[in-house]
Order: sequence, then C-alpha cells, then structure tokens
Amino acid sequence: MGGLGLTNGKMIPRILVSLVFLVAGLLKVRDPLAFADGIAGFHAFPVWAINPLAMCVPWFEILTGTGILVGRTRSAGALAACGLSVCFVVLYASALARGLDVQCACFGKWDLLQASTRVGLVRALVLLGFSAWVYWRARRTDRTTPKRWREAA
Amino acid sequence: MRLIFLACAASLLLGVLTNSSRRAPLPAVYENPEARMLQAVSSSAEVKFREPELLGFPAVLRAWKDSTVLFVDAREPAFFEEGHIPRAINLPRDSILRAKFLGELSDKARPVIVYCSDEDCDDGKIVAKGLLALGHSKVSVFAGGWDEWAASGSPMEK
Repeated sequence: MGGLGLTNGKMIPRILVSLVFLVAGLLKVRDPLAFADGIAGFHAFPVWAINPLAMCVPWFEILTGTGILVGRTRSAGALAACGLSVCFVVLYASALARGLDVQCACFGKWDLLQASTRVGLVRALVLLGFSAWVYWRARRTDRTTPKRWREAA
Repeated sequence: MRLIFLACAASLLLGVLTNSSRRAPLPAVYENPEARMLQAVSSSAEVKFREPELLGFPAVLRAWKDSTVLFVDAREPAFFEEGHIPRAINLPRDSILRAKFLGELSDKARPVIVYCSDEDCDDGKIVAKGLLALGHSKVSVFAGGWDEWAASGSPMEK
C-alpha cells in the first residue's frame, strides 16, 4: 500500500472517490446502452453526442479513479474528478430547474437507488466536495514534499 | 493538464475499441428505447403500431381478480424480484422479442395488462405497443404502475 501512498486515515476520501469512479465506470462499460438512456434523460445533449459520450465517459471515469489512486498522477486524477463532478452538478441542477425527473445513470442500470433528480444533485455535490478535498490535499502534498519523495509515493 | 488530455484521448480510443468489439455495438447515433423496440419488432414485416388503452387502479384490480388476464411487469429484473403483482411475468422493454417465446404469451387473444414503476415511466407503454405490434389483440397499460399497486396495500409477490 505504501507505493500508492494509502497508509493513513486521511487517505480514506481519496480511496472512496477513486472507488466511486472505478465502480461507476466499470458498470457503465458493461452496459453502455443503459448509460446512453440515462444521458438522454437529461435532455441536455444533441442526439449525435449521446452514444459517443456513453462509449467514452466510462473509460474516462476508470482512468480518473485509477489516476487518483496512483501517487504520481493523483493531482491530475483529482482534478479530473472535480471536473466530472462539476459536470454532474450542472446537469442535475439544470434538470431540477427544468422540472425533469431524471433517473440516475451514475451506476448504469444497477443503480438500485434509482435516485430522483434531487438525490442525484446531492450525491453529485457530495462527490464534488470529496473530489475537491482530495485535489487540495494532493496539491498541498505536491508543494511540501520533495519531488524525489513524491515519485517514490 | 497534459495527463488529463492524454486520459481524454485514451478514453476515446478505448471507448471506440470496446464498442466495436461488442456483439451488439452502440450505433453512432442514439436511438431512444421506443425506437429500438419498434425497430426490433418491425424488422421482418411492416407493422402498424397502435396506442394501448390506459387503465386506472379499480379496473386493474377487477382484472387481476379475473385470473385469465395476464400481467406483464416491464421493469428491470432487479425491481421485479423485489416485488411485483402476483402472477405477473417480467418483460423489460429491451427484451421485448422474448415475448415470442414465452408460453404465457402464446395465446394472442388473452388480455394483457402491462405496468412499470409509476405514471412517469414510459416502459409500460413501450412494451404494450410492442405486444400490440406482435399481434396481441387486447393489451392495456396500468397507468399508476407498481407504485400505485403497492401503495393500495394490494397483494404482492416476491
């Protein structure tokens, strides 16, 4: 675990955010059709963009989750997690403002919570909070740790 | 930032590669569930699609007491297994072609009532239209769906 820099309790948010993106990405890769239906439900994208997004976003989530775990790429991974979370928040907020009842596509069709738009927005905000914290920690570590040690972590 | 751009490029590549290696790849342009179902049932012949009749709870309860009516649950299997109307069979929208092979649906004159989770759920109507297109003559939709059935305290099966 030391090689990944996951040795103390402060790493729990980092592991959680990483797992959320890894699991969400893997489930969507398994069932891109359900994810495409989820994206379409937001009525926020042109039809031609929905399937390409359904094919590529899950892989970006998997790479983001992996990036957060690996010491040398955790800042970039956390920044990508913040970016994705901001997108989720904007999408849910816009759906809520338009009165849409969006079924959460966060975990493909296996999302048994079947979160309402409001729950989805709260979930996205929590994820954004954790991602921002992980990014802030990673940046602080980058500034205060010699490069040689960071690379070893 | 360079790493993020690299991840975007890698995601694009992996997405295209995995999609092209699937048995049923996503088409380049999205088709909604209803269009997919219509395409599936009309692939061999020209089919006219009719709108199913919508039923309220009292009519559905009367029909349920008449055991000749078949109930079809259009929700995903995970929800069906958590609870459904007794004697209902599970037929999600993306499995509509399975209807051709189900013994319960072999009699096309048998009345069928389709439902999904609630009034906002379109899957019940989609599956009902598919069954009508497949030649079933008496297909209706329980508009309130599972939520209304469960809220009424009516019997349920797991």
